[in-house]
Amino acid sequence: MKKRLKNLIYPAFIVLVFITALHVKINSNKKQISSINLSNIETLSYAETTNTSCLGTGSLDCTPTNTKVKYIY
Amino acid sequence: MKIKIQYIIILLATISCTDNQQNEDLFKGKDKKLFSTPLVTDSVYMRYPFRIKKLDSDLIISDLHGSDFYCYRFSYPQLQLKQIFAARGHGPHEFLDVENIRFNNAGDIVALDANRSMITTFDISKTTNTKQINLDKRLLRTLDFDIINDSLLIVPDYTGDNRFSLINNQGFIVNRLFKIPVKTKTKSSSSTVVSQAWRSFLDYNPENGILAMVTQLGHVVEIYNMNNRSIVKIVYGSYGEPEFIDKGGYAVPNGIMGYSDVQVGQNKIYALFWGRTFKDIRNNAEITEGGNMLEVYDLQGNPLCRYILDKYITGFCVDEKQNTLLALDINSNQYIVKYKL
Repeated sequence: MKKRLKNLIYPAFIVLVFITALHVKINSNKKQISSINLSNIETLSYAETTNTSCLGTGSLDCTPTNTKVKYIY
Repeated sequence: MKIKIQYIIILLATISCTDNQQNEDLFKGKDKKLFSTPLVTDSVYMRYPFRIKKLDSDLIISDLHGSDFYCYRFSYPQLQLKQIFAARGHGPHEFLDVENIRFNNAGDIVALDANRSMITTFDISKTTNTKQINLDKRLLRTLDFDIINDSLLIVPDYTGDNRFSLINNQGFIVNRLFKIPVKTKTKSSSSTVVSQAWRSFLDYNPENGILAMVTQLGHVVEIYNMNNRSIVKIVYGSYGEPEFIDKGGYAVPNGIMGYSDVQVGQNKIYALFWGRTFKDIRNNAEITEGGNMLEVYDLQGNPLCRYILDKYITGFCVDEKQNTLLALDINSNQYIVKYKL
């Protein structure tokens, strides 16, 4: 009886660890996706009202103005 | 024994569930510090010296933000100013921009004006325009180029359908090759936006047929063999591929400032890496322009070493015969610096 119980406990423990790890992974992914979506929504709303802006003197290609700048936002 | 196996399984399960998106530092333990010697030139004011090319006793420097002229020719090693050329303006032989300069097989200087979509060849003895090529209308904003041979040039552009195009000496597209090596799929962005984010600098060495491309907004080095038109290797560095936000059809940089220049040597590839996040650049307006890491790969894309420079530079050229590096330090008035490799 004891041996049977032992045989059951170990696999159950492994399954539990798997489920916990998977749960943590899925939750962390959910958080990432939601933050990405939020920033996208923010970006889209910006794009509707303002254009891309370019700042300073640099080597980045500011496509809307065909100039070279330090920072694009 | 059973317990040990179960512990191993648990350990493996935990490892498999951990996030492993950050690539490893390919140059860990391979850093070498280098110290520069500034070279004194005739007093020529440049706003943003960006490209430096040397052929025998000629040294050409281009200014990305030239006020009256874009290109300067010096004697080397005396560094006396010989000529100023590529005048800024809207006239028929004038320039609105010079992205890069090259020497062709005849030793003449070839310059790319992205804003006029034009490649111009100068006679080096007179620095007068000898030939102008209007780029194919199907090319969308070509920002770099190199010369394959007398009748072929290589150009990337913003269409994004292919990684780069081969054009003939009339400017027409002859062939389009490869795809942008995007690993992370961006669902909604158009190929044009993706190609903006993957804007790259390139260099081709006709002696070994190797073409290298490096991303300005990411940590990716692409190596192609143009003799058999194959991909040698795509190297993803620790910062990974370019990050961007698609803002109204434009790619707004969101990750790092990556590479700004590359050179394919006889047996090595040299790539200048900045490694600065745009968050840092945004928060610190006084941050110096340029990068101080010169990564060196073999022609198969294996990392050999990383030189840590004492100056932040924008462009460079390596003289493998002399074992020296000439570089452009835009944060100083003495903008040409020399390193012994």
